[in-house]
Amino acid sequence: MKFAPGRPARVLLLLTLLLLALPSIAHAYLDPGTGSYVVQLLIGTLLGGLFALGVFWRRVVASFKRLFKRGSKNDGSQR
Amino acid sequence: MNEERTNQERGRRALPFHPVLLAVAPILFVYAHNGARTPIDPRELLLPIALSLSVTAVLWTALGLLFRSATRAASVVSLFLVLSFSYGHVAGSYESAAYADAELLLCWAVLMGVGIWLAVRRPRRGARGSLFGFTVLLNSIAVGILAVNLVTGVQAFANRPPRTERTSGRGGSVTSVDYPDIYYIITDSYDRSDVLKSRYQTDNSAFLDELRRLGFFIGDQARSNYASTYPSLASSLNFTYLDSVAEAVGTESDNVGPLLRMIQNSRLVDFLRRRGYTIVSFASGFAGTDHLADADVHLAPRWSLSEFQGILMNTTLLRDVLILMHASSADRIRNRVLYTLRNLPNAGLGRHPVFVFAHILSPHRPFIFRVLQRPGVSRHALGYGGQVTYLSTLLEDDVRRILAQSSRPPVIVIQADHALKEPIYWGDSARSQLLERHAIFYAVYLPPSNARPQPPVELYDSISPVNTFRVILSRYFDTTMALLPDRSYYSLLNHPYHLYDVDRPESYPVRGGPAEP
Repeated sequence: MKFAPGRPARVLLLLTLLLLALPSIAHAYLDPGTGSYVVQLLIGTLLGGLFALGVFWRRVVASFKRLFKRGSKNDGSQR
Repeated sequence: MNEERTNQERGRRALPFHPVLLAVAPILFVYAHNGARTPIDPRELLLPIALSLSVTAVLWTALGLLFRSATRAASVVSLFLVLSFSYGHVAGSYESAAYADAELLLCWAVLMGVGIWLAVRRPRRGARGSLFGFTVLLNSIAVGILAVNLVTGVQAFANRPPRTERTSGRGGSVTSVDYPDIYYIITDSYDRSDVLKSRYQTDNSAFLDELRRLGFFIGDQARSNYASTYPSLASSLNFTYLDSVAEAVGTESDNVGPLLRMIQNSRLVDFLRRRGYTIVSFASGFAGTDHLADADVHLAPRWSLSEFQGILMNTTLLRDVLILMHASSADRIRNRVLYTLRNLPNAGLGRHPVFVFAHILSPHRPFIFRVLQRPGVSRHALGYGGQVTYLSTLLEDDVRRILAQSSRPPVIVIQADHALKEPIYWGDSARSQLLERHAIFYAVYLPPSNARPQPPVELYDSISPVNTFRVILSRYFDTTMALLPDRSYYSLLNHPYHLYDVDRPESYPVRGGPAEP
């Protein structure tokens, strides 16, 4: 099986997240909630990221349009 | 060009408030994560939040002056906060509570260095616009993280412990009889001597013999009524079983709030307060008993952290800083245990009649006393046995001092809330495992009673804590309490109201995985 570039990094990231999500042994009734902490960070980042994407939506779309225009110009010049 | 100008205008208005939110959100997270299940006083949040905001303010100001940019400084401070508050979560996975994690510290330092380099590197053309975008992104993420915690935070706040309502002050009560001082000492997870011998190759018979010589009763077949601290103490301090509470709360509930309230405002303390007792409690470091709400006098070592503050501290970079300063969580528990044992004999002096309550988190894990190696004994048995042996010598010394210093012989109850055995596996041997989990150390000193002419109610070998104060109150006070049948119930930590009768194996769940309490 051939590994695509970046795949080991993805596997490593997944394993790290899994490790963090596992409950650590606690000898008390209160616990640090490591698993939930990671999930909350991800959800919060996702929400924040989506909000920021909404704020810059026009610029993002404009950037993509510029990118594709440039791409099609390059295609044309090659022909 | 116009767009760039617009961004520049926006950049001036994009206030980087994310460090403030990221300084508060992780603290709120630990509170919210636990508070809905275990009542935590919201005032416990004030110190960590004040500390976190102060560090943030100092760091932000210093870096702002250094970078000549509040926005760039804010990004570095936010990175520092995220790394600091995540450190313990990552380090905790390796369970190295006693040693600082050098590799992780190095890793965190590298990440911090990269963050600082990115912040101070020479800005490229149009970078002001990208900084504006980055600030908005970080602000949004910080708001998102805080918002996720708000719902559970509100639930935790709603489940906060009630403010103390004392039934009657000492001044309003009358002490007509010379009631005995009462010491109630809980030694968390101290097993019965037969289990100590068979499972941990530990012999505490010298300690028991000395207690007997001093006049103590030892419950050779004593069993706890419940398998964990909350239900066990809620039961013994109210001399009742928890069936009705379990029925009212629901067997699937994981909220220990009702049990905590039973511990904090117990029937026993109410009874004694009405008879003029002064209530003295020691800080335990366990949320249920750390600060007995009903106490007149609360004794705690300096810089004693609550259970919540200790857990919070362990999620941060401070965890390793404290380990390096010889103040790890195990060090803090040891200091608290030794403080309690050192001050216990004097706690009642000048306060007659007094009720002294001390919940000692030993020999419960983590094992806080160093133990010498012994060939042929497992590390766990050696560790636990060593705690028991050393704790016993300290307790023996305390008992001698209490008896020597009391003008009238006091009542002394030394009892475990449950035994150590964990985890429990449902299967053929489940009953013997459960019996082991409930086999507790139990020693009571009852002085002669002058108050009651009739023959006193006696203690007996197989007594359980639900009956301890039924015997004591009937013996020394103007009341008669019938003894209850001695029963033992097992429940999981996350389902404290789902009770399994230890003596009814047919009620156990069908074979399954581990049922850790």
